[in-house]
Amino acid sequence: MPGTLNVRRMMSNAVPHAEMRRHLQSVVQEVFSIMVGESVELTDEETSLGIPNITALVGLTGKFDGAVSVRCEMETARLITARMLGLGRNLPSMLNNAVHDGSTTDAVGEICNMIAGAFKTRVCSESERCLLSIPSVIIGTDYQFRVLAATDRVELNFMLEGLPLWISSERRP
Amino acid sequence: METTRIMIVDDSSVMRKIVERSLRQAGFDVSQVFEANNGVEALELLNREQLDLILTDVNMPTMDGLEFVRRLRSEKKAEGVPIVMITTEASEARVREAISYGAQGYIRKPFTPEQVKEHVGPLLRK
Repeated sequence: MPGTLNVRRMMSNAVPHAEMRRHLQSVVQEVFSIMVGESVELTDEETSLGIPNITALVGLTGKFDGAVSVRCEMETARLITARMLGLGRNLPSMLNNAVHDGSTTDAVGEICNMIAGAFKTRVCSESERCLLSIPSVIIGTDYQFRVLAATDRVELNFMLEGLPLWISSERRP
Repeated sequence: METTRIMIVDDSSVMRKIVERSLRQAGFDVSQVFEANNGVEALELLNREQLDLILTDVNMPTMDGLEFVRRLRSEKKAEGVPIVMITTEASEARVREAISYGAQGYIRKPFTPEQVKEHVGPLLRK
């Protein structure tokens, strides 16, 4: 599928997979509640609801070695941007073309950054060194990206006001 | 509350707007906001403007927030200007490091206007 991650799945012996999943869900809901002002609902619905065309990615290195990604459709990205900027439901015309002024990529990158940062504090203890990369954002559908040698992967599907949102974490052993 | 001239340093324009909005929602009378993308731009701005408060991210390209705060120590115009770090990197070690470099406050992203008020209020009253 275009715009998807392509990694092998194995279990790591650090933080258990179920715990990683619980932490990721919890931090996603916290970040959206505080910064976007909306709750996101975890859903079992498959990704057939849409095709992501914006992907934000933050790498982690140290005790937790891997990445956190946020993928969504441009409509969702514009909604996130408007809410973060306190613009309400009606997006100004400027935001219809927000890819060009960078606001949309910026907003999704920051959401990913905050999720990765909060996730890091859950899966690494104070004494464990773990660093975050600066967010990267990819726009388009016809691509795949890989976290090289990644093993354990959690992918969660959320709905934000009826729009799909895919959030994942993955790590190397 | 007195009017305040602040500088927000963050490589994300959206985050700079959110920080400004949070300050206003927290009740601060922000009279003028200066924005910088990174530590280098912030140091240039500092030479031109008189500031009451600096809020800075940590992870930024070109010059990160810790290096920026460290360099502020030798800037006469920064004397007495409170510095608050706003970042996702909020481990105890990072907080200690930032404070040892000269930051007076530390706010973890994501944050609410109430948290901004809690951390910034006492610094502006001093």
